[in-house]
Amino acid sequence: MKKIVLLILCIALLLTNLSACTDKAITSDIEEYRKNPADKTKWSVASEDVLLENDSYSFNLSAKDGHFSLIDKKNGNKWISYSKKAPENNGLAEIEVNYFDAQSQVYTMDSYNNAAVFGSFEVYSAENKVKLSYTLKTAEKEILVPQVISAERMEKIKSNIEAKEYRQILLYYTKYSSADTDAKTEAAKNEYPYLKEHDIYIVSQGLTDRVKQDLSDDLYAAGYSFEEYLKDLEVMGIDESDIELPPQFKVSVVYALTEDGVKATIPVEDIKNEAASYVLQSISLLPYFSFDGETENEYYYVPDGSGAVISLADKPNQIYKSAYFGANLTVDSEWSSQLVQNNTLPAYGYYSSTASFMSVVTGGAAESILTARVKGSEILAGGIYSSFNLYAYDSISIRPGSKLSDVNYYSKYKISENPEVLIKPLGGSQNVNVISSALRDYLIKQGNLEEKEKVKANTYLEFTGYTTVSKSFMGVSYDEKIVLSTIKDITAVIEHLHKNGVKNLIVRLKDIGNGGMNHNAGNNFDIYSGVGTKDEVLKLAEVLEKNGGELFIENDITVSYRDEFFDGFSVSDDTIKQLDGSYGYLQDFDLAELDYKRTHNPRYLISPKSYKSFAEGFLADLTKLIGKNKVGISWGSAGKYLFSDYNADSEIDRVMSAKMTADVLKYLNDNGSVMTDVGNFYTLEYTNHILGAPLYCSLLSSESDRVSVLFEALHGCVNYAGESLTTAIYPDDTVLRSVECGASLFYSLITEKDAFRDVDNKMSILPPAAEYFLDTIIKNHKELNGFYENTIKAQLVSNKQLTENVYRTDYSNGAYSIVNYGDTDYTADAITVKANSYFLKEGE
Amino acid sequence: MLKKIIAILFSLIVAFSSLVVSAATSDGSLTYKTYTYNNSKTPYTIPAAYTFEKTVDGRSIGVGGFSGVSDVSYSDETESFYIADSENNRIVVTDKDFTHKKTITGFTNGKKAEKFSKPGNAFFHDGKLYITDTGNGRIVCLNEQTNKLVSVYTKPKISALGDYSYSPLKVTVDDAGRMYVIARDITDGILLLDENGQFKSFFGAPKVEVNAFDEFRKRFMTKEQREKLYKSIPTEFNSMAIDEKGFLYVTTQSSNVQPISRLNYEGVDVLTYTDKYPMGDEVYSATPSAFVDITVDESGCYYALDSRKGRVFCFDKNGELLFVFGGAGTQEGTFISPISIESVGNRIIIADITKNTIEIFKRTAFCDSLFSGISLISEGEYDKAKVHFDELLRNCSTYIPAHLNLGRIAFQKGDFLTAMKEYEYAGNDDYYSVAFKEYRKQLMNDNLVWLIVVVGVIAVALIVLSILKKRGILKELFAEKKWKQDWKYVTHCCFHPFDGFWCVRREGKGNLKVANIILVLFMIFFTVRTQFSGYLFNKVGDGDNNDALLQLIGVVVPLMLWVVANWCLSTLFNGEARLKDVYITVCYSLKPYLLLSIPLYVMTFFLSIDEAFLYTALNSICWIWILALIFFGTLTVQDFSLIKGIVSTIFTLVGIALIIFIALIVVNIVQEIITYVGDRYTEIIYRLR
Repeated sequence: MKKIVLLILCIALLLTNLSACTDKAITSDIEEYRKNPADKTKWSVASEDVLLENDSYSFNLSAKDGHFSLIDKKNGNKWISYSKKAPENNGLAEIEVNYFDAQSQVYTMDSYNNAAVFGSFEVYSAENKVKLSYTLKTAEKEILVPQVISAERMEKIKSNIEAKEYRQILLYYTKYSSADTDAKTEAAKNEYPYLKEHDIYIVSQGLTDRVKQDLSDDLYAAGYSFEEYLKDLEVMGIDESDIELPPQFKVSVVYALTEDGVKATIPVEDIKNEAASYVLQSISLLPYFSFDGETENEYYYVPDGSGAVISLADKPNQIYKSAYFGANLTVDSEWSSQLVQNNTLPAYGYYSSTASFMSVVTGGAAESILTARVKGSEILAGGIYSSFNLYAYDSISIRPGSKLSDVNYYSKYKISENPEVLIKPLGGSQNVNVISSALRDYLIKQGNLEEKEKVKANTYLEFTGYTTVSKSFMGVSYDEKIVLSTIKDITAVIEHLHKNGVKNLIVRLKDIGNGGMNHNAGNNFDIYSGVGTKDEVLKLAEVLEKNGGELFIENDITVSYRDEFFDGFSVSDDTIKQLDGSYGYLQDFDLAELDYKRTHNPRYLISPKSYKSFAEGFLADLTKLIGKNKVGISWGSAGKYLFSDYNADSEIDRVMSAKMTADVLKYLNDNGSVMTDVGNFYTLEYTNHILGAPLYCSLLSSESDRVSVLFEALHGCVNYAGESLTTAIYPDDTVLRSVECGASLFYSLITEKDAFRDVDNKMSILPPAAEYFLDTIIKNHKELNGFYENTIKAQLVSNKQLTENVYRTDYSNGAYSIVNYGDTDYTADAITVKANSYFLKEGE
Repeated sequence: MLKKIIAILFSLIVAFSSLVVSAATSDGSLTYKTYTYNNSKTPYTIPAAYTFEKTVDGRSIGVGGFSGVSDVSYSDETESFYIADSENNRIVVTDKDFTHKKTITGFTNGKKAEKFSKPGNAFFHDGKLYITDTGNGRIVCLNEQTNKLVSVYTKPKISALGDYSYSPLKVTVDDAGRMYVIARDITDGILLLDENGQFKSFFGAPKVEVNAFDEFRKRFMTKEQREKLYKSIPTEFNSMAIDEKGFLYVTTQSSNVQPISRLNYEGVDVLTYTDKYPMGDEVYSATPSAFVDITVDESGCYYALDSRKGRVFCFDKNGELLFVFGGAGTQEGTFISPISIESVGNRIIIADITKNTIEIFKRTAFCDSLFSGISLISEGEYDKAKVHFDELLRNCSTYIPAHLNLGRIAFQKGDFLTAMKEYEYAGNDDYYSVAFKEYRKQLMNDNLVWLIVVVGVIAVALIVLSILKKRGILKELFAEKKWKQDWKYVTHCCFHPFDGFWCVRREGKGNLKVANIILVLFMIFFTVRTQFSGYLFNKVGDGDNNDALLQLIGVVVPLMLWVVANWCLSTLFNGEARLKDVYITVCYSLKPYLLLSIPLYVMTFFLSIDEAFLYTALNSICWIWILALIFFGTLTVQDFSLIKGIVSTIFTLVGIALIIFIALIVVNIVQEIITYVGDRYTEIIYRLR
């Protein structure tokens, strides 16, 4: 018996150690993602203007006010870091910061009004680089009303000013002697232990602003300074966080001149907060960067969905504001009640008749928000820029209906990557294509995209395996499995399509095991016997491959609908935590209430730290069952959602989350072909197929028109398809828009007719039976395949509006398509495009 | 015994025969999603019904920006839109493509030129344009072609209102030339004016239902007091639309009145309304829909505009919600303050008073299919209509209106079983019940001979068995055994409670095992009836089948509490029963449930909603019988007089309440402690972070 007990104890000890080791390993991995490369630049102080130059650009920074100018040598266009059209002193800053006080009130400071005008910045230079270190403060001299003054300091003050002023100071300070033992002094001794051995003066409460200003003037006049006050606090052993200090932040910005333009970086390690009761929450970088010259027909480009442009002439006073890569649903306050598209590319731009620029957020994009502000009144200057969350924050009510006030929560760590923006000046243009082609070239040059030979004119089919419906008997609930598709039937559908000439079919099998549509964590792989067997899957893969197609199996690592015993998923270890410490859930959007409701299909959000191990588990099972490289792997939500995790032990911001996601995709890519949905930028490098790519922008009132910059960048590099035609909310339009964007067609289907009759808990449009759509698939393929084959390897060079409802897309091989969304025929140049139809012309 | 069986069989045959007789008749580019509600009143997405086409504003029409555009109406006759540009004091008239035709800012009255002040709406009828000149407190009627004044209708005399303030907001005219006027701050209903502008009556406000107490109270009131009494529920209508048949559709935000009504010529609401579908987003009580305008299309479908969330709710003429589209926001095709809606062909026109724009939405192929199907059903073209609804289900297999209409088609074609299936899917019990009756009739007609044969065979078998028993053949089978005697005794108790229960206590005839068996059987029967009754009675009878366990607990626990409380109080009232006796009495009293459950259960598969009273009556008899047995049984075993029995019953009920009260207090205290500790813990954790 003793032996058994001893054995159990040993095993328990071993398991505890193992688990501790695992935690440690995970934590250290996470820290690897947080590391920024150390700045090894040898900076030297620059007291005069700094000039940087290369073959393409000339950069000149003024040591007087921190402004810079950038001259594009190709065309002589001059760009400046501020706005000359700025009203008053707005629009003259290179950086703007938002910060919160202890009561969660938000304030703003900028590098011009809160530093440059006081001369509160230093300039450093290095080869092709220049660094400005700002000390941002609310006034040139902070109001100096020390909470506590030591007796020695008071003596010095007394000796430096006249008796009248000194008496004035003493009116508002009470002297406490270390020798006194009255209750008031004892209480003060508890608060300020320094009083136990030294006399001190404590300021009176409730001073008016006027009195504070007078006191401050007197103290400055006596030669006392803020820096000395901070030193005194240290001598008195008083923690700065116990004293209400005025807000003061140190922020640096580094400009580096490259052949691609100027790169502006905020080194996170240089950011210092001098007053503990304030939180520096976000930093906007180059908010007023503008063209220094006369121009017309000005537009901003924003990467909203497929892309959108904002006319500066038509949209006065409008503001566009949106996070890159979709909202962070881990932070409740970022949830939107509007149906908007993801900003899939971390890029923005400006174009006009004379000058244009393209900008790419090269650091911290996932924790950044894009703002495009059109000047209309005299209050604000316009500009397009990115703001970076230095700390993520959320305002949370402790309990609805409770009298306790809302509390602001902040992430423990600062942003894990230095915020960085590249601005590349371009020539004048009347079209956004100047930006899209520059962007494509840049992304290819950086290795984010690659013009691939493997891209094909595909048709995408997705089949859903099964779902579970919650039923109950005598109040005891149980899950009933409902088969939606069987592999046999899918194979029959595919063979039918092949017989009818539809080749290059890319099929994604979704929810064929592991709980079906309401699946468990994606850390394993199985096939529900009602759906099919591994041999049937292998046969399907073979049938597809023989006809130029490919089979993908979807595994959703991002969420888990349930937590079951021995499923390798632990809510406490693997679920994301929000800033208030609660678990993160994803829910269905309630269409009537415009809110994500906890009652609507809630699922746990998996922490990015678990992605890798879950992917490994899935891949191991898949390899064991099907074999290696037999099928491709799809992780749809990887390109659609990006979550942070504020677990106290292992905090992961969105930048780290994006890197972790990309690393897992790389790992999957090393083991076969990879497919994702939507196509957020960080997934592009390791993705071969994108489904559900946004064919539209969000059509916000601030936007003038939709454009196709996303596809002008992607075409020929990645296979992509738009929204599923069978589950689209407006399928008629989706076909036309797919043709316009050069997107393959995508159909989400099931094989069992009427299988969804018993499913009433789904809030989205459910995939229909394949038999209803076979003719449509064949017809569309016949009409489009030739054109797609002809254009798939060409570059999509231009997409423009011809009339109100007619758009033309041109390819580098001379092919083009004209799409007519209107109800009347369109005729031009002897070409008639029928209403709600398209005209296709193949190229060389 | 045989007599009884024959009597039961006979009554069953009669019942079925009577049933046979009585059942004779019976994004895409979209910034919003289109949705409808499922049977659990949860919204779910469906393919778009209307897609945003374009925005029109004053500048695009060429008349300068609108300011406070309050209404847009359309006339098929003139093919013109009439836009009330309220703050600009004008009516802008355009053709159907929103090309400017003319702008009316006033008229010439004699030699005097007069201007409009904040016009509310303009309505075309019979060559004339009726304009509510709100700021000037009048309705102006102009010749639509020449703009010449036809008539000015100033404040009508209404004795019930005395000297009142008159600001007409909306006017509509029927075929007889009568004007319906919605005026600001008048809550008695719509003003019905004759063609000369004379007040005829208030129209549309629901009448106050007078009860007996009110009638009694009125006898003590003076004449003045009686006149001041409200005759109708105060209702402030905010919009109206007249359909081809002259029915007036109105909307109101008054909380005590249905938000949408269809008024006949007497002002009585004749709207077919089904509570299966919410009238607006009313499932969310915090933000219910606020309808501001309504329009009717040529197929009889009506569209109500919700200003709170910027949505359009479309109902068919049966009051069934077809779809909801639109939304509030700053995106294309969404609204800030939508104020007016008009249906023109396959387009919906919506005016936004804050954006000062007119948003145009175009019907999609999905919606075309839906309306084509609905129209074809009205025309009796069921096969053609079915093609459209099948098409809808191909695109959205869960679309309930399609199932409902497929049910209608199947019903009309006599395929009642399919109709029942479709209605069941659509969750419409009323339609299901009607289809079920027809199906039952069909089934009976088809199988009447077989049914008579089966009943006859059973009757003959019973008669044969009876004869065999009398002649002593099969003696073993009919031999009296102890368990049979005990079981029979329970039946005896049910029909002779005083005698039966007296012997339970005094002669020890009660059997604990039998009591336990009865309780177990009761639980089984109860569960089966709750869980597996016919479709209609699962809904209208025993409630939701998901909480069978809860319902069972709700019956068994009070019974057991009765046993305990009554036994506890027996000492106080000098009762003679032991705990066992009270328990046996209660369990024996449940026997009627076992007797009647089988016919009740069978009935759930044969009765329609109309005939549910039969089921309800028998069920009530069953429970009254049980309760009476419990009361008299307890009284007998305790040897109480009737008065003492009533008093002890009251005390027993108080005792049960006390037990429940104490249990609730304990649960409540525990909950409070948990909540308190949880809240403090949460707060500490939050504050410490």
